[in-house]
Amino acid sequence: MPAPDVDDAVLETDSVSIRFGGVQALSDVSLKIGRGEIVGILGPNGAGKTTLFNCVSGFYAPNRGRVRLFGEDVTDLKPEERAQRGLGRTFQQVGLVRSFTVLENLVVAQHASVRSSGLASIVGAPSALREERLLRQRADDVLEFMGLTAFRERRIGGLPYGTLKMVEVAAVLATDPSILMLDEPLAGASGEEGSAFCDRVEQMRSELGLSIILIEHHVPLVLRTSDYVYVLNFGAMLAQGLPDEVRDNAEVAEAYMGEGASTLA
Amino acid sequence: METWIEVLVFGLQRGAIFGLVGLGLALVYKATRILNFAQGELGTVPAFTALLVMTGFETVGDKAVDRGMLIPAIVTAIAVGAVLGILLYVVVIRPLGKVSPVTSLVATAGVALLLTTIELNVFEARARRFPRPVNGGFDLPGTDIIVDWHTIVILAVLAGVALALAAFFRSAPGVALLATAEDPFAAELQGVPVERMRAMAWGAAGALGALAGILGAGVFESLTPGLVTSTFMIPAFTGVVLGGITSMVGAVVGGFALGIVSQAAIQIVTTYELDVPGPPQLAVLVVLLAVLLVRPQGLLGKSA
Amino acid sequence: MSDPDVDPTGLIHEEEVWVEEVHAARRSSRLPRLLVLALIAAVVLAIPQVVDVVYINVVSRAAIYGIIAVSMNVLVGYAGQASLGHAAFLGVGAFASGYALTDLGMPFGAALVVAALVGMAAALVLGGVALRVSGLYLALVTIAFGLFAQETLFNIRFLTGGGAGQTAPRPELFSGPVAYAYLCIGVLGLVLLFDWRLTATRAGRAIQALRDDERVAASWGIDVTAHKLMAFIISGGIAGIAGGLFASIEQIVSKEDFGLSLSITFLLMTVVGGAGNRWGVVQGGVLFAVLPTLLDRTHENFHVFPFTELTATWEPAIGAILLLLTLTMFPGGIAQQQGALLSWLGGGPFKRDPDAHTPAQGGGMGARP
Repeated sequence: MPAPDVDDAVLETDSVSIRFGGVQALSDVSLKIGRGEIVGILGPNGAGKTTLFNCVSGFYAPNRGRVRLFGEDVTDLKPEERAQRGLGRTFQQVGLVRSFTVLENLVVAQHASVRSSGLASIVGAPSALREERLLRQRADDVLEFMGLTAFRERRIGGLPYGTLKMVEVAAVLATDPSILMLDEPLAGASGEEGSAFCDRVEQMRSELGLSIILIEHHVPLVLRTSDYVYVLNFGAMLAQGLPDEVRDNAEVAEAYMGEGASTLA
Repeated sequence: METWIEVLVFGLQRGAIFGLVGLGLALVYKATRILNFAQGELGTVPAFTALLVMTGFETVGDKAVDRGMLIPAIVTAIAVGAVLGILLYVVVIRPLGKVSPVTSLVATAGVALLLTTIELNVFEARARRFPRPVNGGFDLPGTDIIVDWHTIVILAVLAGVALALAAFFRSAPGVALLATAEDPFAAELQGVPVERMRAMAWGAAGALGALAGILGAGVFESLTPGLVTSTFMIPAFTGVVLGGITSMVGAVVGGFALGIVSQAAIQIVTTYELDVPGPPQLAVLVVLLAVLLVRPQGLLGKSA
Repeated sequence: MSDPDVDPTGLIHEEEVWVEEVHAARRSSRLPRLLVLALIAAVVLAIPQVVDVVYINVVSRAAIYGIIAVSMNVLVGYAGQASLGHAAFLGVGAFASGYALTDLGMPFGAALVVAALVGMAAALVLGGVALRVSGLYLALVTIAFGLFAQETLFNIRFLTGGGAGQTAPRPELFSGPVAYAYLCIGVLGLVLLFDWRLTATRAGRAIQALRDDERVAASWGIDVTAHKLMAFIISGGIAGIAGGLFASIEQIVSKEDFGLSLSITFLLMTVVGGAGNRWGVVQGGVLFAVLPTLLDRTHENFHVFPFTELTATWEPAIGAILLLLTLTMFPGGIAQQQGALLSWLGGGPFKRDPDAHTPAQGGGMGARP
């Protein structure tokens, strides 16, 4: 059952199931995210978390089930169309353009909000140049929010993995999403960096008004940050509930830590 | 009706060469995940070597071929092919490191260009007479069609090679080779000499190429620089794609199919007097597009 | 390069130094850069006057190869698509222009427009196929497409003159060899200008975002299909124009001129030049265009090579060796070697960026707002 007091879900999956060859990657996964919520998705490796993200963002088409964004059924829409409706996501492998600098990535990411016509840009019309300045300004604002201003002129190729994950989050923020899907943003991060990031996630919710879904392996951080948690195992919903409920759920603990474990973290 | 049997016979003859080249392509892909655009020239160069052996190492002029030297020539050619294949792996493919399939295709295309240019400069851009291992033919019973013994030779060689490869891939070293392609890291941990296996695969592909080159030149009874690439590569590629890029049986089946299809195309255009230029190439292109758009993994390949 | 185990404070400091360098470069006077650019332009414009009239057509060809390089760069360097049949677009433009000039009696400028449109149409067809097929299989399709064009399309007698070839007369205003060379250089300049502005548009950037990972582009709201087709169409159009100019060098073209080895040459020059950087690929194009002549001349004058017979027929081999060297040892090609200079000319510091194979090429986003 989804969180009890969510009737205004920004994102909803309804019995999503998908099968690859002989493997049932997801079976009957239903979840709901409310406006301004931070939701955590937990589960051991191979549980289907990224597959779920791919179904939600449109890179996989589920065999059964629907995906709804702000009440609209988007199951048949392309990924670009879902992005244009306010859905942003990060990828497990860093999702950035390698040949551009950090700033340039954030400018490209604002693609959907550019108003200048191609003609105006090609001839360098004043309106286009003005918008260019605005795009850069917005990019700088996002970099500042994420504490990445120092890396502004760096090419993607030279940055360490942890920094790149943060740049990727910045790029998605630049797309001005309403819903942010983060796929293991803390891979390669230290405990301190993880903590700092979780504070920033909270900031994203309170200052930017985002609704956030977070896949992470760092269980204590997820439990600390989320308002509600879903746990996947072998493609099915194993458990869901408030963080404290999930923490003390013996089944979940066993799925993660093996037999005999009775609590997570 | 007879014309169609003729189409079949010629189609099988050409198709067998496509299959031989295709086997080399599939082998290299299966073993090292590289699509070797130089596979054709791994055939032409050994064929020229064979010619050198048979004419007493004369590059200029058109000296008559000494048929007594046929066996040594063939053996030398196969050896040259194998060495060339290994050399190609060690000097070009390995230094490339881990690159995308397109990049390795481009690199091997560059090698093909290099080899063709060397041939052009050493052997001049003209056709030289090239012998068949067995001349003459026999009447196909019940028809007026003559089947060349050369065709039988090609089919026999193809069958032999196919069986040998099938047996190899069921044996321990063969399985090890497949393992190195699937998961080189794990194979290395298991103690499989990965680099050596890969070099071996390329050497085998070179030897296969040499066979294709000799027999292919025999089909036309003439050898020109770049022969195998310009005449057999694209149909062989298409055959491999049709059969499924990881399937050796597929490469052979696909090769035969393309051989018959391209011969049939010529026949149809002639019979119905259609004004369509380049019918065999057009037919090959149509097949390639059809496969890639409808079933990219080919008839016998595994789903991507 | 940054080591993740380095003290984070140290990393930030390193970044701040780099940012300072970039900002200092941007603040510094534009004058030296403009002077150098003017010098380069002057040298290029002087070439047709200075070169022996025997070689003037080589100059035209070099400029045209440069245009083709820009076309390849949009498709291969920006959008990351394979193209091993690009000679087909050149040929389509060449025959279209020839047909427009002779059979339709159009003026040269209009014929070039026709060539561009036909090139775009051909590219649209190939692009449509490219939507369904990717990577290695796309490469094979482009090879097949190139062969199909040469064997079938260019053999259609009434359109292309079949074996005899198609004539393509030069325009009256530029009929002399030197004048025609200037025309080709002029068109190259316009094409470069167009490419420079293209990278400043959101469409141009979106195309470049396709190269690394289409899914990321899609997640940023970029219509992958539309932009991929756009890349094909732009590339085809530029190649078509190059074809129109190409046809009128010798004023006759036939299907033999547009084979697989030419397509491979185009790919080689793009890779060796440095795919993704317009200045690099243009130099690659020029290099491969003059290489045969260069080899002939060197052979006559210097006999420096161990093979005293190193003539133009060895050109493809040299090209292949350059390709293999680039792929194994110098991945960014010529552009990477010139990284410092290119960075400086674009308004940045005179430093080769160690993190990028392909240097920034200025314009669009590299330039100051």
